[in-house]
Amino acid sequence: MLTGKGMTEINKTIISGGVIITLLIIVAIIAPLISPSEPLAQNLSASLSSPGGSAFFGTDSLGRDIFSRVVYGSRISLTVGITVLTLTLFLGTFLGMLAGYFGGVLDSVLMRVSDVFMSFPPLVLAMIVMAFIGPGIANLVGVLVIIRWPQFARLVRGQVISVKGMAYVDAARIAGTHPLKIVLKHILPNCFAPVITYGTMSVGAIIIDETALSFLGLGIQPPAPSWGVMLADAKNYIAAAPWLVMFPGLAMIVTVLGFNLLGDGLGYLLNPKQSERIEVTHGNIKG
Amino acid sequence: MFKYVVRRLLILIPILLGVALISSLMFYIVPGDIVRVMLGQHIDPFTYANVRKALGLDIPFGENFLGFMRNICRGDLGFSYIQQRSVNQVILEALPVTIKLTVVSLLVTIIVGIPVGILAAVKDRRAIGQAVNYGAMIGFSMPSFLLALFLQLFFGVWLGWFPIAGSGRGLISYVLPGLAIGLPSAAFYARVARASMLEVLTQEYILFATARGLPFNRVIINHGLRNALIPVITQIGMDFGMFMTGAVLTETIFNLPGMGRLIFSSINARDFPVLRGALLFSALIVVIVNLLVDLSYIRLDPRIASAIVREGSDADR
Amino acid sequence: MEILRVNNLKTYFKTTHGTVKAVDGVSFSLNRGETLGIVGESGVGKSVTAHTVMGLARNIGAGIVDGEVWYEGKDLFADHGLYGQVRGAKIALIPQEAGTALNPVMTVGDQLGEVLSVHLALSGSEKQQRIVQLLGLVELPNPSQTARLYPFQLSGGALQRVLLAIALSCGPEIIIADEPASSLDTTIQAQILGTIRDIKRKSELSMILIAHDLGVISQNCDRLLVMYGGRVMESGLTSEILRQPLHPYTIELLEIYRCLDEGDLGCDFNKGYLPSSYEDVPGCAFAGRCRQARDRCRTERPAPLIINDNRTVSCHFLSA
Repeated sequence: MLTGKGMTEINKTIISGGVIITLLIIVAIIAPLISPSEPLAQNLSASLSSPGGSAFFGTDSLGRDIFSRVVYGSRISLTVGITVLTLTLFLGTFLGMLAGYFGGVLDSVLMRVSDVFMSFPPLVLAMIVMAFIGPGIANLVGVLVIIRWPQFARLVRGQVISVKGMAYVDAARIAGTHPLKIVLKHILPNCFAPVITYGTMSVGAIIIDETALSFLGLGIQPPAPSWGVMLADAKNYIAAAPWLVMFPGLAMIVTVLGFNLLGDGLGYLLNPKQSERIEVTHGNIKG
Repeated sequence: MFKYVVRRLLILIPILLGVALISSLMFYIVPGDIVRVMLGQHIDPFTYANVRKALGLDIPFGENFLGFMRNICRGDLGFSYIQQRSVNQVILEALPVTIKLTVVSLLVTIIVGIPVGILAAVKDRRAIGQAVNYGAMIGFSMPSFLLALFLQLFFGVWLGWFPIAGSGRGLISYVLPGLAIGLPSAAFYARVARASMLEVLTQEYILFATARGLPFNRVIINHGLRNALIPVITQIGMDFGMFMTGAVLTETIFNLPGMGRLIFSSINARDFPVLRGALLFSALIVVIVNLLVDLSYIRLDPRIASAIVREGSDADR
Repeated sequence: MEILRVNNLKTYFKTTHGTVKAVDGVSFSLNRGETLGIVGESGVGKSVTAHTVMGLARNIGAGIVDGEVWYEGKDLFADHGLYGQVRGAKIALIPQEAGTALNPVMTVGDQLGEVLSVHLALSGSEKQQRIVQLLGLVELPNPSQTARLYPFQLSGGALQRVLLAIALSCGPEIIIADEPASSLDTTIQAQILGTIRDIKRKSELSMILIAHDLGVISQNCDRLLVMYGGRVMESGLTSEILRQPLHPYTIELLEIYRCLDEGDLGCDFNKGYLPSSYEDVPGCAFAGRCRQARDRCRTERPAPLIINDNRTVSCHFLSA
């Protein structure tokens, strides 16, 4: 029973997350309209100037307007985030479903492979591949998909296995329904909820990954205005020009927060047991 | 029970093999000639031939790989031609730094994160519970390297309280990096702990514990925490690998010569032997820690132990 | 001799759809040495009443709790702190679901020992002995071994006995048993109730027994409280009520029980339903289902009519 108080809290989370993300998308789309200058335009005479005047967020070492760069950077982050998520979602779901439904050798192989992937320190695999096959956004997206798909596959596999054991699936199978139909009609719908929740929250992590790689010089390359690239540059002037760190940093925090809030809210919404808890908790255990 | 441990140990092997395999493949997939990539374009033919032979690039991959595995069993992870010393040495040098950093980060996570999470659960209906929940959300929306930069800026540059680079000044050098890794992690675990505790608090046995007259504190600690912490501890154990080796960015920012930075610099320097050795070593640690966590989980939750004994199969796969 | 008196107990739950009046003005008393049965179909508020008397209404999520619970000359509701000494030690609860009532990661013996430590300050070997003794008292085989087992390793019946042991551990005056063993096999249920009866005979234990089985009721309860819609419909000596039920609901309830007992497929039940919990019921709670309901029944709540020393009925129809 979703009671009133519980729902309001969920709604607050989803709405705040949704608002943030919508704003972000809008900003990314209308970037050219709201940026005072081109993100790549240098103006050495105004380099490292503090926020104020025409440069709301100040300028960097090459005189580029930070505000414009942050705004354009949002395009990069969102594009990478959503693209990687979509691809990972499909790949992971597909493989997870195969492994979960057919089990046996296929399942074991998948599990071992994903174990191996997960035994590498996070991001290191991405770093290695990026270092060797070269930078570029296509490579970056590919690499991020490679390191993320095992988690999705495991999640879906788990769901499939638990649904597979349910009576109505057995009934369908006995009735002779084609496996594909069983999968699509019965099993898939049950995977939606956790996958959507996990997926939404993953976008934040993907954006962090992209930023981290770019920060290390292994992702998006300068002079593209990726927030990671901006932070790498900012690191060198951290004492002299703190705004170089703060604005891209804040942009990143807000973005990730937006996705986390949305994912969190969705998680509660799609998992009624948890939201029930909000209302009927053993709140005041004393007395 | 013993069979379970043995089976788990056996599973380790393919995983480690997989890691070793992938790391070794690196030598072959790099565009260009690997020896020249490592040591420069203009090395003399003599050195070139020697290094090439030593790396086993003359012989087929299979043999080479087997040789590598044999070396590993002897404890030899290879030799770095760029640094002119054994990989073992390089790793052993970096290890203490990483251990200290990991310990500090874990302490921060556990000391800050778990009590906060538990508190948020117990006071869930009060404002403070909700505030903590959302505060934690903000906390883990901030990646550690970003926090590292902010901390560096705030505490290192502006306030000058803590060193911002190097491991030179002893334990105090680990404070900022430890916080940078530990705080976002603490935020994450606060939420995990909170969710777990909330789940536990709605259980019937908590009500009954109160019903039989046990005092509030006792109910929370002996019955609530005892159950709620199990998933939290296992989660921390599983993330241990991340703690140890995911510190690449933080170590780079604070210039700490640990495993993370080692991996990064060996990628940049194209020092493949070191990279391969470091990766394998990390994987080994992660896998061993996971095993230990699984075993401790058995000790913590008696239901798992009996499930294993009864079914004679992996309870967690 | 009266040892527990409950006056006008009210327990309301707040939800988005309205207030659920799970317990709406329940009063009764319990005499020393007797077993008071609370009966009624599922959902009439028996369990909530039990928890409310134990002072646990808020713990199960109630918003409004009102009334008086007089024990040992004090109103426990006036000073909730008193419950600390009363719960488990003087008034003990045996919960309905044995399987989930115990902490899964602690041994049964440890959980029994906990209560002993907290209420009786026992420790060490003395505590161990008492644990084994208690487990033996409730007729568990191999008490010292059983003490080392975890809840999931015990059968439903064994767990129920453990709960009984916990309830008895500190020598309480009153036991409130919430449909004990109702989810188990009838034979096991009978055995457990038999054990309870034996123990009760030897001590001067008083009991409130929540039940919905005619056999259980007739065998165990001295007096009965018939509840419906969170209110008391009728109360009195079991023998009298069974012989001559007065309230329409009691009559129907007994009909249903007898019908089920005899396996008669031709039972004619008035197909009514409990008033939707969210509706406010100004009149008699049973009006929606009662065959003899009149206008007055729907608008005016009947007050308890005292027929004799032991008997009360809340029905307009009778007072007419």
